[in-house]
Amino acid sequence: MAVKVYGTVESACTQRVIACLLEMGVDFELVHVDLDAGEHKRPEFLVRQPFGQVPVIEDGDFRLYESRAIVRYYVAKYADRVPSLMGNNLEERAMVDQWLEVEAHNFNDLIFTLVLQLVILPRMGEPGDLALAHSCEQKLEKVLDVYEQRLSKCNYLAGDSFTLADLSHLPGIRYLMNEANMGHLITERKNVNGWWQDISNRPSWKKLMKLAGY
Amino acid sequence: MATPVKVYGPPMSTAVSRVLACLYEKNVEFELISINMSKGEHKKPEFLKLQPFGQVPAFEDESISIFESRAICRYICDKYADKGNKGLYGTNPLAKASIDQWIEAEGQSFNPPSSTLVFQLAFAPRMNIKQDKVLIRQNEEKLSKVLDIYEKRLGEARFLAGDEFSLADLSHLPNTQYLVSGTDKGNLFTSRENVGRWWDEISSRDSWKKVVDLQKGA
Repeated sequence: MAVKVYGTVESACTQRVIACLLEMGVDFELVHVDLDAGEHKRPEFLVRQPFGQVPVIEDGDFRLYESRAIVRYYVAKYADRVPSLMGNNLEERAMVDQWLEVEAHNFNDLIFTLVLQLVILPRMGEPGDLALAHSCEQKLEKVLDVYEQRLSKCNYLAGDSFTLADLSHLPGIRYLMNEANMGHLITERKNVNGWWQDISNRPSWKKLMKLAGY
Repeated sequence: MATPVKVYGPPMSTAVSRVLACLYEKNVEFELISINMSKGEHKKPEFLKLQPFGQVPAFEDESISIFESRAICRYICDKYADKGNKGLYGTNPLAKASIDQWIEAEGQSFNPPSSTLVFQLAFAPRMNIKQDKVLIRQNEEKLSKVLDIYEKRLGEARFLAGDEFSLADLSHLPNTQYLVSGTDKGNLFTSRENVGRWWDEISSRDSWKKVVDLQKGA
């Protein structure tokens, strides 16, 4: 039975889950949630995800939300399929967890704020806070300098193999490069750019891009 | 006898205390190496080698050097699975998934407004930084909405991820401790019946009491 993913193909967090399921070859069905119509704030949806956010998955009777929890679950469940996505031993796993947390706490917030101020608010007819966006851009420069240094020592964030830590960055960087028009943050850094070219050319990500109509 | 693991950072830091709580729960001996943040020690080259973002905590044992408190906690639970509280990170994949879900909820929904309030109300006065009243009000509203969700959840289950205390509950201890004991916003927790009950229970654990003692002694 296919895993049901409630969300939208444009939402960064839903993309994180879909990218992972595609990497693992796990059958899924995307159940579209109409965010524009506020479907995610209605009682029927809140039963599935009490914070009123996408995505949430249903796998038979099992329900789970928070994209980074969902991807961890499936990578562990199907560890025999692509064993290195979460590392091959305790120490590698710790590195994957470490960079997953960096993405969640040092990277994601800055991208989210940038996209909110530069893309989403203007789309809704409201002025974005340009000073705030600029401050996020400056902070992102410093964060990406650390990534540049890290990626000079290994091919991927957690080591020499592609893992969940790299996958987790795909949706956010895509937004940065496209809607937010901040691609220079990536292309100006040799190692970060090389890494981005590599991970965004993976068949699973390209498949998702096609699904999303980009 | 194993060498104690090393934790770098001041015990008053919420992220550092998250790791210390986990080490106490798992009965893992540690050495706490304090970092003087008011003197900028966390931005100096020697520390940046351990934590390139210049943040605390950093962690070291004989095999590895790790940063990010929630990653450190997961590592400790994996490496020392048979020590101390064996169920802290779940004993089967479904339990682990539920714990991960609530650790993420803590990190994404609870932490942002609560840590802003902790900084504004508990730290800013000590650092002679002017409080931002608008920011305080906005984040109090955000946190209230999150705690309404927690109130419902904790009416269905004793702890966030189920019937047992887990890493998910532990992850909430540091910020909540400051808000309840160090600011006038404790009522956000204590006025909600289930949240109040949950807070009393998790903060009475021996492991957390030891962390609070460490913070007081520092």
